[in-house]
Amino acid sequence: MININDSDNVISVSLPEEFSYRIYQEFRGIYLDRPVGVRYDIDFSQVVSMDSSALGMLLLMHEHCKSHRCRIRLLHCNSRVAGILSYSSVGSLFELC
Amino acid sequence: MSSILIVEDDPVTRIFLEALLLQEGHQVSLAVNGAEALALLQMRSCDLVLMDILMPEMDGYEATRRIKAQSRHGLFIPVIFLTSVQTDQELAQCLACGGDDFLNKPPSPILLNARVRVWLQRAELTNRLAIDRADVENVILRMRQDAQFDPHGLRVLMTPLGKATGDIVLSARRTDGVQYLMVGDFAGHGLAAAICGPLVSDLFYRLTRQDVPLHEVIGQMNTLICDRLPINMFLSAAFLELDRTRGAIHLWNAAFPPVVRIRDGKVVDRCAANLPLLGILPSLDIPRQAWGRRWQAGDRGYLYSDGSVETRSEAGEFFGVERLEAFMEKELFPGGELESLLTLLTGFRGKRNWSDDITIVEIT
Repeated sequence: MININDSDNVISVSLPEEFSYRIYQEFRGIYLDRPVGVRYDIDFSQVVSMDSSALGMLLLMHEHCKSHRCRIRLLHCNSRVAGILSYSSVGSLFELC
Repeated sequence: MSSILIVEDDPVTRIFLEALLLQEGHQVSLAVNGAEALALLQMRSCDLVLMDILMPEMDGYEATRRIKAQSRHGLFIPVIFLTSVQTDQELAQCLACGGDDFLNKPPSPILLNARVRVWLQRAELTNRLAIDRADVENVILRMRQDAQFDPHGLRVLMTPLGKATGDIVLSARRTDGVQYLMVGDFAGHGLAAAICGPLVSDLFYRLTRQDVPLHEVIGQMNTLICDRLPINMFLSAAFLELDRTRGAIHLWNAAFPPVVRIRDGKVVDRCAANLPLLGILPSLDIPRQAWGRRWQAGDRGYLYSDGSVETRSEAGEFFGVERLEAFMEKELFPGGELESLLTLLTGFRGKRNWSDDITIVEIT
């Protein structure tokens, strides 16, 4: 479902079409047990739908990364995703590229 | 000590199984066909059933179907089929009728004991979780029974998927008669979302009693959720302040579906989101005035969570805002029941399951 690619200090993550509670555990697995100081590039190009749990999952990741000094970049958000991130204010916590 | 029911018409197999299970320290009861098994279970439940397939009067498939139907809202009782049939289709039927596992006949003692042990453990865990869940639900239901809810001018339709819902409706009047209404939706579903309700509800009623302005109530609610709940529990909600005497309505919409106002059977305006989700940004500035309009007697306001508009048809189409607004304009005017929305949604979704709580509130 989620595609993960490690290289050096950058972990590239490609999210599936449906970003929802269905991938809750899998999504957590991306960042737990990683060394401090890595960078996550999360690719939204496949994402078609996204629910409130998805926002919650991003927020949990953000909280974890803050304490582990990791960077998170959200890549290729389509207008729908960008809209959800902005009206919810969740987007303001991340680097949107 | 676990109690196991053996359903088997062949006496030799029955005695063999009984001896094995007694040796392991289980309590054993016996039935010679499905009908007798059901009669026995009526009198006394058991922890696990070993089920033959072909038996006179009632076969194992039918007996299993009935056992599972009867225990659907109660205990989980595993059923293990003992089968001498070998076709895949018949084995698949063992599972299709509600059975949990199957063993070839005659089973080796080692294999039988191993399977029985695993299923007894699983059943115990499942049943303990069900009891815990029921307990927590009762706690939440009790906390939610606040006599403080003021139904003045309201009609409310709330259909939680389970007993516990993440949707929340609060209403109270200040000492000067101005009414505050909040309709919200906590992130996620189920118990975790439901348990957040009482937390914000206490704050809402306490502050309204103290005549605190609504934008300050919202600000304090945001701080409370930030401080007290994990980051992934946040709230989208609409807050409405209605002063019927002065004829004024004010709205704050925190990432909630648009609030709709209807006059003479037509949508006259909508208040879309003008605030972010609550519980994420600790320092959130809530404006004193967000959205304000004149209110006339006869106006109707509607606040709804996204469950209804996101109901999908079998073809995958969303029910959508237009259908919902048409329902508000035509069906609810004059005097239609909110409940008829459920009929409409049920027809629309066809064989699909409900996926979210449905909440809609009308204020007049």
